[in-house]
Amino acid sequence: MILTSLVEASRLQFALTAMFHWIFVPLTLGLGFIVAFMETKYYLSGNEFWKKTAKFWMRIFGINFAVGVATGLILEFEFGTNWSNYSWFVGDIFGAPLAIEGIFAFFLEATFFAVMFFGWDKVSKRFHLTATWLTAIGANLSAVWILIANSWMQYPVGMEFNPETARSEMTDFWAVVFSPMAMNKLFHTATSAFMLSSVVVMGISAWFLLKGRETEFAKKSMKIAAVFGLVSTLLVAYSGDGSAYQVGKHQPMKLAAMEGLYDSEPGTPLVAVGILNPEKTVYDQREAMLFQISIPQGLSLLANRRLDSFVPGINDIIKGGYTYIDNEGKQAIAPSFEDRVARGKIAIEALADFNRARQTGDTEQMEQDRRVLKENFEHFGYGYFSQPSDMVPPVGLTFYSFRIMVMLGGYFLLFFAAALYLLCRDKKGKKDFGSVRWFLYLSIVSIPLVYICSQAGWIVAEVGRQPWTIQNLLPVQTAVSGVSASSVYTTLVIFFVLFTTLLIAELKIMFSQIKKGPDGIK
Amino acid sequence: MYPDNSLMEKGGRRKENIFRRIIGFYWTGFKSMTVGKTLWIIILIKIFILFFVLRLFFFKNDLAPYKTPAEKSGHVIENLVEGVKTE
Repeated sequence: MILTSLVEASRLQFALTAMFHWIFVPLTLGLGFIVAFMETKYYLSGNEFWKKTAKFWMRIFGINFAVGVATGLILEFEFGTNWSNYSWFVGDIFGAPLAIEGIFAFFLEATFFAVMFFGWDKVSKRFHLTATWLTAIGANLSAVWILIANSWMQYPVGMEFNPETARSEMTDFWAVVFSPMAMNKLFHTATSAFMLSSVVVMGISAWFLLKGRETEFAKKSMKIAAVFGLVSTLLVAYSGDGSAYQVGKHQPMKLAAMEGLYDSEPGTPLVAVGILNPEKTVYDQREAMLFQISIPQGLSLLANRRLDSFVPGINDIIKGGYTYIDNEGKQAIAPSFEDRVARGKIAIEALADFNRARQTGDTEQMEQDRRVLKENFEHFGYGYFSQPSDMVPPVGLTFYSFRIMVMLGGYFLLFFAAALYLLCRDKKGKKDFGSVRWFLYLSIVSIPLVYICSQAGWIVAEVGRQPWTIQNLLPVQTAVSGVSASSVYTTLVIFFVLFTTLLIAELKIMFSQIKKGPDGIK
Repeated sequence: MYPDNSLMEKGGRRKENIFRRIIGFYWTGFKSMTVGKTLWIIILIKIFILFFVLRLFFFKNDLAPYKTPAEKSGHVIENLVEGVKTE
């Protein structure tokens, strides 16, 4: 009970920090490129209007960047304090991408960030433009390495566990970097951040138009944001499909939770809209859904690219016995929960025996235990479970977050298309864009919606993979530090107060800068 | 003795060392910051509280009592085999 409380507190604290961090980061990822486009226009045309426009959005970028860096540091701090077993266990695998991120990408962006802000009129136009592009690229490179590390946790490849050090050792750097899970995740996350930034630019510009201020600045900013946003949203949809396919291959339980799917059959439908039965639990006979509108065979197509294929539900994964394609592309029979637990316990026991043999210097026994551990290591984490529900993530949160994310993604596709249509009408002189007030209000309302969409995406990714910190290898209850739950709860409250204060301060600074407008920026 | 022309700019002003110029660039930049100063203050207060106060009073480093990597890995193996013990 105490351990459960500690795990819950530590998870809550990490989730809180990550969610605050993700308020600031996505805006910088996309806004950096929007600013770079604007400055390129200034460089090519020499028109001071574009310099003024770029400088305004650069300031919004800077505020977010600075606060985002601070929250990112705290996340890394929490790995050591709250998740020390995990930090030790992941060893160099997690360390390498984070070190590259720190040394290369962060210093790249930090160096050119200074030139970008302090360098106007001090360095040449060309050098300043290069610095702006490199800052935007550097911010995204930082995200790339973090996302590679995160993807490895969802699909651990290119590693071997060393029982002598209790650390995972990297055997194939490129397998870690170019794992299909990582490629899809970083493409999906980066493009979703571009979408978010575009909506923020649209919303702020709409505010200026509603106030009757900075009309040219607002319309031209919106035009760039609408094009960038539409392209990004199309890419988000494309990469989202790829991500779901990868989840189906490597994290079938997460996909089942995303769909609220318990008992499946070939030609599995995709729930477009639905209400989960809150009473439903693993193995009971209740209906999983109270109401649903489904797309026939949709999930089979999404997960396996075949309409008649079988996508396992939660109970199917627990029971095992269905055929699937394993990581080596071969057909295999899925083991049941009991099989996985048994093999996990063998692996844990082998680790214990190995450790004892090492202390007595029995090398022959060590080799035998190492072999047993290696044979059963892919199920290592299941050895900590006692009942099938232990391996099931929170279904409701995952299911609804997934639907919120997808529906809002669809809404933003229409939103950007409508914005481009209205801006084209304005350009042709048919109707002034500034007079379409309903769309301007909608643009402002869309700002919180895009943040909800973005956060929902992370909830699907991180809550959906519970109870794992590293898929199939390390569950949360073994990854956590042995600190007192009360300490974590106390700091959780302090963090919440601090983060909220910081968010209010940041928003106040941001609003005051927006109110000044591009003419108020020196 | 003639001055070293390579260290002179066109107007006859002495060229500054590259490091001095970089430091000067940052110094002037930071001095002219307005919004940035407020942001830096917020960030520094937050980092101080998080890294110093919380670490000092609330969290112990779980692996700190173990000096060598072997001792640290031994503790982690113990946690992996016997489960995490809470305070």
